[in-house]
Amino acid sequence: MKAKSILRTLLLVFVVVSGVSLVIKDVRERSESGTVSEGSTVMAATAPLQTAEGDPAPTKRPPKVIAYYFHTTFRCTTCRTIEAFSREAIEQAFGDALKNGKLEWRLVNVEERANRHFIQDYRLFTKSLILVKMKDGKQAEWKNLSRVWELVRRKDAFLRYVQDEVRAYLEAS
Amino acid sequence: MSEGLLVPSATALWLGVLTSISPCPLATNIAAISFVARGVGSTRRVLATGILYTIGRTLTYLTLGALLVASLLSIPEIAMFLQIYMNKALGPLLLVVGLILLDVIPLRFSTSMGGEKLQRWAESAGIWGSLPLGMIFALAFCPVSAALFFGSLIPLALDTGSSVTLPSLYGIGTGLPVFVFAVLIGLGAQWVGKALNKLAQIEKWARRATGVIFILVGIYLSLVHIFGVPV
Repeated sequence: MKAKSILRTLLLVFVVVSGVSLVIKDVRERSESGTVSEGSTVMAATAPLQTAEGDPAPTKRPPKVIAYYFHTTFRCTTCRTIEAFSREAIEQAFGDALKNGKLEWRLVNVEERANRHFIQDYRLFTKSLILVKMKDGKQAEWKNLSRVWELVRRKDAFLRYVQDEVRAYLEAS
Repeated sequence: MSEGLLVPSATALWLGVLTSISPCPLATNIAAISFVARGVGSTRRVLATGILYTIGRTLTYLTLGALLVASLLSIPEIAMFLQIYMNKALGPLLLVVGLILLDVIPLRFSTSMGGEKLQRWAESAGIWGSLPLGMIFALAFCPVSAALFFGSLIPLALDTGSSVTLPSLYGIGTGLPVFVFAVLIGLGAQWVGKALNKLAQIEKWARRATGVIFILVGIYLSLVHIFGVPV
């Protein structure tokens, strides 16, 4: 009987702690989003993928392509696979473009308030790989590579799909 | 049904089945199967609970589909909101329901209710409870189910102008595997119970198992979605 009441108390405490932590996290994010400047929480991938974020902005910027992978704080197994395959497809075929800044890879958590605008900007409804073409520092066009969900169980087809789409965007820019 | 809707209808049903057999909603599906199968004492009860669970899911997708096709809701906003918040709320909710199912948190009844009446009420509440359970579980979108519902089903519904039939078929598709599994387990347990002449005992344990499964799934969802424990 004693064990039962201890277990009951522990479980109820767990429910309360979960609820409180949910509220605290949400409130903290709301207050942080007021102080953090927009875009600063966009995570650039680690080496060898480099972003040109720190470069001094030239007046006439060369055209480039940005490959965004948008995720939420909860990362499911399939989502991790999509991210890893996308990254592999890009690293494997476009090493030069990544080095000279014609192509960038960016990981963005849309659950962070400062990044929430991306949900509307690119009409995101789940974890997505989006290609954005930049001309003169402005966004010229974008595309959702929505077939990543369909091809995630066929790695070869997935890599080819992403590489073909990125290549088409790079060639047209 | 016109011939033009036949292929989209089959697609919608298949998308639903695909959603429910993907690994992501496995935790909630296990909870649902245990809830439906727990009434092993009566075939009618298992079937009614399973049908109501599927109707609950269908109602959610039907409402969401109709609102989205009529452009009363924005796809990105509602899709991301449900993915971010519903899964977080589900963990503590399932834990509390599990504790109620195990009678750890007793529900207070009016004393005027007689013993037999109370038992009947508790049984029918258990059956009808599967309706809101289906509705809530359907709202807890996973990345895969969001990709299939918002990315495949809604565009299909928009294309064909079918805001009722296709989302409903999708809902039935998502409930179908859970329904089939639950009925098989429920009837299997019933058969074993009858063969061993221990049906009442098996039913008692099935009810307890449901409570324990709800608590475990609740803890799992809270750890993953609220505390960010990697899976």
